[in-house]
Order: sequence, then structure tokens, then C-alpha cells
Amino acid sequence: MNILYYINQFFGQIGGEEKADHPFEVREESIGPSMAMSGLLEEGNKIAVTVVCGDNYAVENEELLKEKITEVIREKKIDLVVAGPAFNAGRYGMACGLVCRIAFFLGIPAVSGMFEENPGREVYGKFGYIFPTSNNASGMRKVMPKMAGFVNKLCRGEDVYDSEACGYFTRGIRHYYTTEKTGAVRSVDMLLKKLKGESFETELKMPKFHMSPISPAIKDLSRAKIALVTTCGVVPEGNPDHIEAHAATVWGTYEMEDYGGVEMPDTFVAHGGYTPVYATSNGNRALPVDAALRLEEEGYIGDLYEKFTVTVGNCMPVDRAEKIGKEIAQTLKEAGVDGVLLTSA
Amino acid sequence: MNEMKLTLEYIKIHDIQWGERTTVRNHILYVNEEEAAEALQDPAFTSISLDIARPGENVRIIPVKDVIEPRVKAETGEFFPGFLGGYEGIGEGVTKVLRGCDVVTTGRIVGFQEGIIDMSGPGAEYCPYGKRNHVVLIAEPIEGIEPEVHEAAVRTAGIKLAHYLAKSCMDVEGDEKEEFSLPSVDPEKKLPRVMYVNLLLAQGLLHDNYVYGMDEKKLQTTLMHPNELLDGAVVSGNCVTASTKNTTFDYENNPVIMELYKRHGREVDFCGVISTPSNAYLAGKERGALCTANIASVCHADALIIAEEGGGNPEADIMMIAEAAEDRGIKCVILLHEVSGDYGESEPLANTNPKADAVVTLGNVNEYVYLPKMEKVIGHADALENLAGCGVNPLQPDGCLRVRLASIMDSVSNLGITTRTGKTY
Repeated sequence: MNILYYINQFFGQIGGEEKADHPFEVREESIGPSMAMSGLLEEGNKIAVTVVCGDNYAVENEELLKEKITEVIREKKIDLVVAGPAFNAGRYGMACGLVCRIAFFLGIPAVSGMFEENPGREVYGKFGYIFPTSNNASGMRKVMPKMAGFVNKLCRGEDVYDSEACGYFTRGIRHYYTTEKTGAVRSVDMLLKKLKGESFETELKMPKFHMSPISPAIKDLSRAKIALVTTCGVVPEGNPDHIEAHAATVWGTYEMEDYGGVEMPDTFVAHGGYTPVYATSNGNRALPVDAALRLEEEGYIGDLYEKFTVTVGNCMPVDRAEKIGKEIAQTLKEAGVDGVLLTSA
Repeated sequence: MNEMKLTLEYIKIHDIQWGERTTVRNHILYVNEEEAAEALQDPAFTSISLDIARPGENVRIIPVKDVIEPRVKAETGEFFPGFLGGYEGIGEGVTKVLRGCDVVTTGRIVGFQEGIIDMSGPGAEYCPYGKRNHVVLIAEPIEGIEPEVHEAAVRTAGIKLAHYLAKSCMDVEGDEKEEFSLPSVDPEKKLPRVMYVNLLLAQGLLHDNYVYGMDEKKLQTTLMHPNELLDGAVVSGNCVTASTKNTTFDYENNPVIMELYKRHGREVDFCGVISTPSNAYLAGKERGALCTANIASVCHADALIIAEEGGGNPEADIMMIAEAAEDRGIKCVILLHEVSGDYGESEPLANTNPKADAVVTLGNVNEYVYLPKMEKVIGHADALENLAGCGVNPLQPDGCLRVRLASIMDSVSNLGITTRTGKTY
């Protein structure tokens, strides 16, 4: 297995805080932690490249870091990434976390080490197998064998999905696999345990969501600019932004003319989770432009924002919904919108 | 009191062939295609044809609407009460089952519509129907047909074909018999009284179910004997959410009901099925949760197993029912699927409740799988473009399809058909 090892300017023996702007650098030879790990790897696993980067440079040039790491991963045919350990160094932890995330979306496992309270773990904990460390570098000798042992385990292709047994911080990622019993059999087994008061393990702990604070009410609606936003997938015919019917990744904005005027006859329903019959010939049934225009005419609201924002809510993962929601809110804010009517399927 | 006893007499089918007479010989189902098509005539169709799909074949069926197991009441020759047949003897007596062959219906009914069954390759691994023999019904509708008329026509044709096949084989002796009844349990055994909650999508065209031919949207939460489901009382009107909706086959063979039957009198006292609509409106969901808990209370249930149907807003139903029941001291286990993003990195549910502390998960609809090109496509290959779960460009340069599990029939069915599960790491 080919390993990329990421370290900062300090562990790369370039310098301390004064060298935190040191740019991205690729080295063939192992240094410091990468050398330490090198000696603990089983045959066939080698650190193909050690990347050294100043902490400020890394966190201030996120896109560039992504580009360069991706390039090295592709060029050197990297199978696995190791970053840190960063202990409680905040920016180093963030940089290691970023590296883990880059690897994650390339489908490559990443291993790191951090102190529990390192912001890098809190922000990027999902993206790598992060081992707990002490809060300073004195714990290097203790954590390195654990990280290296885990790297060897990963390289052997063993099951690494039990975070407790493996010793890394639980990432909060779902892993899917097959068991011996069907779901139906498992449901009755679980119920019997629950009824007897025996311990049982739910297969899915209820997630806790971040709650968004609700904005204060609009004081004077008759002066407010109101926007229509929908997750019903009501798009102009031809679905110009190719919004997916399920687990959508994009959103679009359209104007009344794109739908053929106020009757909205040129509507297509891109949503794959509800009956599209009613809105197909009249988009107003899911994106109520007619009603909003009436409210505008009556003076109940000030202006109707001319651009309608559309996406598909059908089985969109929550984190993507959060991201898309933020993008939409930012765009509307910049356009001076005061309030939103949000219709869902 | 006389206990309701239903005997299922299984006629085991290992293969399907065309034949002059529709019957079973040596475990082979012979089908007279002309006669079968004749039985399905409907002014909604311009043409009706049948095809056969067998496990291991290089075949893809798309888009699938429903899957139905052919069954018939031995005493009356009827089936699907309230739709095709009457109510005499439903849940009792003898029902003949063609075991090992199903009817699969296809048809482009409206907009986005899912449903792939692959008969070999990785798609067949994920799909319980990939391992069974099918008579596939392809019915082309007249031009300009309304989607709701088309849906009803295909739904009806599917159950008619299943009934035709089973009825034609009524004189065939079954290979095996199994009896289903719920004899009262000795109170000394102190077995927990368990009910199954059968959540039925009742949300409008493409998301509907029918109980005794009645639209579930217009029905109140109902107490049922499990034998009624085995005898075709529930028919699926669903065409979408392929991976998580229930087919008519699933209602005839609900695996949770089968498991509770197996353990009745030994580990549990199985005391009935509560069928309740999964309504699109909040008031409907609140009513469903209340009435489910009420029926469970009247039946002195200690526990409920609740399976979601579909995904998204039905998560609210399942959480509300679990909360209402747990508040009454009735313990619940819920079966559901997850929506956890391409890599399992996202929150898996949109609706949660701390009282739902016992969950069985059947997997992630967002998960991608690669399906190889198939030599033969039954149905409409171009339906892929409108297949929810296929994204915009499912076709890969090498001819493979990159699709989400969402598009594969029953791949993450909430009924616990498969052995798939998930855990957090």
C-alpha cells in the first residue's frame, strides 16, 4: 500500500510559528513522524511521499491544498493518507482534518491523531480515523504505535468499523453490510429483549439535529419583499438545471416567464416522490405564484421577489440540505429579500 | 369460539414456459399467452403482451410497477377480495399458492417512476425479486390516457393475471401445506402480547394502497387478522419509491407477520395486525398515531412492531406511533431505512423521536451501485432517464449504470425482507 503522510512545518523541521506560511512541499524522504511510522509498518506498506505544509498556508489556502493533495494522490497512486498527529494544535488539527476530508471524497481512508478538544476533530471528525492523543507532543511515542497498528490493519483489509475496539474517535458515519438474519427476524429478537428488560442495541441511534434559530417576525409585511422558495421540484419544462428527482445536489432560480406566464403551463415536476399530476400543467399548485401575486396586488405584502428558488427535497441528505439552505439564504439576503414562503412536497 | 384457520397449499414452481394450456406439470408453470392476454382485455390498453424472466438471465425489467404472487381460494376460485373476488372464506379455508413465480407489471405511468429488477449480476443481489421467476406483463396504454386511469388499469391487470394463473392451476395438487392460525395462548405462559403495525402509504396517485378494494386514503385505522393479508386483502397501488414501497407480493408474504406467526405460542402471543394509513396531512398522521395506540390498548398489547412504508414524511408517522404507544407503556420496535448520503456521512433521518429507542435499519437508499449492461430489457429502457435515484447521467462510459439503491425494487424494504443493516463507526 502506498501512503501519503502529511505533517506541518514544525514536524517537518522547517521552523515554528514564524514558518507557518511555508508553502506546500512534497518530499520523497520521511521526516519526523513519518519516519517514526515508517519503522512500524508491515512489509508491503510504504510511505511513498511526505507532504510538509505550513499551518497558516494550509488553512488559508483550502482550495489550493485540495488541488495539490489530489494531484499527489493521483500521481503517486496513493491508497491511504496519514496526517499528524496534531495533538491540541488548533490550526494543525484543522489542516489534518482538511487533508482527511480531501481523502474521504476521493474514496481513500485517512488516519490521524488529535487531542479530544482539537477543533480539527470537532469540525472534520467524520472524515478520518482519528486517534485520541495527549494535548501535547509528549504523547507521540504513545499514539504512534496505535496509529501505525491501525494503518497495518487497514492495509490488511480487515474490518475496521468498530470504533471502540479499534480505538479511534467514533466518526459518526454509517456503514452498511449484510448480517445473517433478516430485518424481520432481528425486529422480533430486539423486541423480546426490550420486553424482558435485557440490554439490546438499536441499529440506529436517533440523530440530534442542529436547530436553526427562527428569525424575528416581519413587522410590516406590506413593505416587505417576499420570495417564493420550494422543495417541490417545480421547474420550467426541460429542467434546465437538471435538478435530480431524488437526493438532489443542485438548486435553481427561475422567473414567471420561464414557466410560460402566471398560469405556469410550461411546468415540469422534477420531484420523484409525490404525484406530479396537479402541478405539471399548472406550477401554481406547488409554487403558488398566483396567490403571491394576489397578496402583492392587495398590498398585503410589499413586493414579490421575481426569482423563484427551486430544488427537490426528496430524500436529500440532511447535511446537503443544510448546505443548499445556506446558499439559498445568502443569495436571498443579498437580493434584499425580507421573508420567504417555503412550500414543500 | 372457532379459531380462524388458513391453510396455504404451495404448488412449487421451478420454471415458467409457454404452453398450449395454462397449468403446472413437474414444477413447471406453462402459460398460454393468448388466453392470458385475453383475460386482461381493457379499453385502456392498445396492446398486451407477456414475457418471462428467470433468475440468472441477462435481463432487466424496467420500470416495474408491482409484483404479485398468484394465489386463489380453493373453495371459490376467487381472490383479491373487494377487487376481483368476494369475501367468502377470506382468511380461512385453503388458498392455493403458485410458489416461485410472480407476476411483474411494467408501464410508464407518470413522470418519475422507479423500479428496476435485474435477473443477474449485482442488481439481483440487492433485489429479492432477482432470484425468482416472473411472468412479466407489458400493457401499452391508449394515447392521452390520464395517469390515474393508467395506474388503475395496470394495477387491475396485474392482479387479474395473477388470479388467472392461480385459477388455471387449481386442479394441481400442492407440494406442501402450511397452516396459519392464532390459537389462544395459555395465560400461565405469560407471553408478551405483540401486534404488527402495517403502515400503508395513502398519499395520492402513485402512493396509494387498497384494502378490500377500498382506497386507504379514505379508511380509518383498522384491526385485521394477519390471514386477511395472506389472502390478498391488501393490494399495492404504488408505482414509486421502488426500494422502500411494499408490493402486493410483500403484503401476501409480509416477513414480520411470518416471523410473529413462527413464534406465536412459544415466544410471543401474536394478537393481530393494525393497518393504518400513512397520510400526507399532519391531522391524518395524528389520527393514525392515536387510533393505532387505541387499538393496541383495547387489545391489551404489550408491544408493537412498526414498519415504515416508503420514506420521507412516513418517518413522521412511524415516530408519532412509537411515541403514542410508548407513552401508554407499549414497547415498540420500528423498522426503517436511512437517507445517509453517498458515503453514509449525513444524518440518516429527517424525523426523529427519543422514544424510538429500538430501531432495525435496512440500509441507505442513497448508496450507489453499478449495474452492468443487460442483453435484454423488458419494459422501457428509456425509463432510466426518469428513474428517481438514477441522477442525471446514470449511464457510464463502459455501459454500466451507476444508480442509487433507491431505484432497485425492495432493495432496502422497511419490511425486513433483506439481511442488510447499518452501524455507526
